[in-house]
Amino acid sequence: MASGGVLEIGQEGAAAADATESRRQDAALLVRLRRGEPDAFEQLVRTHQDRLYDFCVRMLGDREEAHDLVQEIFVSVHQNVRRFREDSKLSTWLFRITRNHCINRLKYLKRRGRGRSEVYDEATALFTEGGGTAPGPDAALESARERARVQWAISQLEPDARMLVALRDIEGLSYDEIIDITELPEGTVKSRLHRAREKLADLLGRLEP
Amino acid sequence: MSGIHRRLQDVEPRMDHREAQALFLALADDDLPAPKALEVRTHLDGCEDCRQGWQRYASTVKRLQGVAREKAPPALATMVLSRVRRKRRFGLRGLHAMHMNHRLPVEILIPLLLAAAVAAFLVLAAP
Repeated sequence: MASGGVLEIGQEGAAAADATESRRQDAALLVRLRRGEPDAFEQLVRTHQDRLYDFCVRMLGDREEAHDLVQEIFVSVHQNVRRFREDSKLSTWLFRITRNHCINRLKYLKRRGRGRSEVYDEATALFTEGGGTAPGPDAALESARERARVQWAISQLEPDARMLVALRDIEGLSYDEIIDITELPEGTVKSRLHRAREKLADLLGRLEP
Repeated sequence: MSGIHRRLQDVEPRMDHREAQALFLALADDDLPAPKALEVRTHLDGCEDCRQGWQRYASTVKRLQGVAREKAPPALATMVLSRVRRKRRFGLRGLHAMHMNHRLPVEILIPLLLAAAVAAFLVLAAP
């Protein structure tokens, strides 16, 4: 179950080698980005777009908003890449920018009066159509329903808790990375994540037949 | 009863519900040292409520980890690149470059801005 759990010695070595290789690739990409090579920026976008988009959908609960926001985020990355101090992984820095944009967008949407209930209509409709029934023969439909149920439950959480669930349980980041992204102490991250998981267990339990 | 179980019962006080539940996060992450994990598991074996709570908790974490990811729309990268190009052409960087190339001294710029403001006011206030 754990993605950051105890590793065997051989696995630890492989993980360390992967991390070194990933750092080396990040550094090479950054050099090209700072030189202003358009191909490098396109590579950055294509490498990270799925994860950042998924994170934004979890946070905002709206694909249209997420689509628009991810574009804004990459534009902001393009403008600020020279300021990246390389004190963390490139992906961690991207998540930090994404997190800030998501929080700002959520505040903006709240001011505009777009609360959660409106935002999650699609998900709500999907799981209430078939929620609580036995899995149908269509695996794709069941997968979509499951995704909708989980998304609905996540949308009931406060943004801070939503963010921790998305980063840890969905994106599979380590606690060190999450601490770096959220700038929260480890104890706070863990206690908030624990409460969020308990609440999700409760919410998802209510949807069971 | 195994030797380890006996030692836990002899030396350490039995884990209570609250303590066991507080360790669910670490147990789900496989982050507990083996003796502590055994202590929690022993409590779960003897406590129906906590066992059910753990099953709900663990299955929720598993569902979250297994949920299908959202994939970015295919045109996203192209849209980002065209936004960046537009921004480069008309954005702040362009303004900044213009300012650097055609910089006006402050003693000229301020009277010019004031004059423009007065002119705008007169135009708007005119009947």
